[in-house]
Amino acid sequence: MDDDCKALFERISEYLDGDLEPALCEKIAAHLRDCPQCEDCFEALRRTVGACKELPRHDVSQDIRFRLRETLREWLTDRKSSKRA
Amino acid sequence: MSQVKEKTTDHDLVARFKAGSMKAMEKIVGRYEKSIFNFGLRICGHTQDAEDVMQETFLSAFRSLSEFRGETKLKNWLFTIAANACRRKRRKRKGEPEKELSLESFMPREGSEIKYEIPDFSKDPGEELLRSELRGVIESAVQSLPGKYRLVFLLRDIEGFSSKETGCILGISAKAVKTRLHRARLGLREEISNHYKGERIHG
Repeated sequence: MDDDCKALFERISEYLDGDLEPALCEKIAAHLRDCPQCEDCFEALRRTVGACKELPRHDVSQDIRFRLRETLREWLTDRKSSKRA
Repeated sequence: MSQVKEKTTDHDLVARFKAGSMKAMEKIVGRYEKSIFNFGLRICGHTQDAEDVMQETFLSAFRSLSEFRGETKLKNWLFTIAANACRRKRRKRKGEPEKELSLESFMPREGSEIKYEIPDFSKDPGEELLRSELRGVIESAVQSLPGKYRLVFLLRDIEGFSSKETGCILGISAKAVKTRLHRARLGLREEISNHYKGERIHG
């Protein structure tokens, strides 16, 4: 890994997110075209992030949803009665 | 006539709750319970802890809703409370040292022929079974990340907060968010790739 590769390695997440200034973006794009090792490194990161972003959310069970609402209702009732007192 | 029904904004719901509407409270809960629960589950790793985090978050939020300022987004405010609740939970569970992830450990070795094995379903939808396997692999990989990296990764890549917003939620700089996110992603890439490499060798 030469210095260019190391410099790129530190910034590829920002490059992927489009967070870098255009001149640096172009420099990285040019390096990726010429360096198969960095291209592989970047492509694997791109796939990883893409797959992670598609991770579905687990459903919240009926029991848990019910208990949450019960807790909040109890709190509201307590709050109302303490305000009246 | 247009049938488009405008979605009630979070700020409208907050105002209605402050005026005593129980329905507004239900709507706020319905809007965010799934994301808060999943956040708690992926940070703490246990359903019971995730339920506790969710209850604590909503109770604390509704208790102090009078302090909620219009310039903050409700989602950001809820996640700030949830992140603090998660950190308290994790502190209670001893025996989990906070490991640092070094950038060097993820750099390809000099002269090494590294080939990562990460399935790509963005171009080819693939079989549901394979996609489901990948989801399981990612969930385990996320659990293997040290806490501070996991927090940043979940807020940025799963919840879609910006670096600046994530920094505000966690009380760290946007620069620190970017550093941690990069290491978290590299850690995940390593774990996922190692899984599929192992499968190819042993499978």
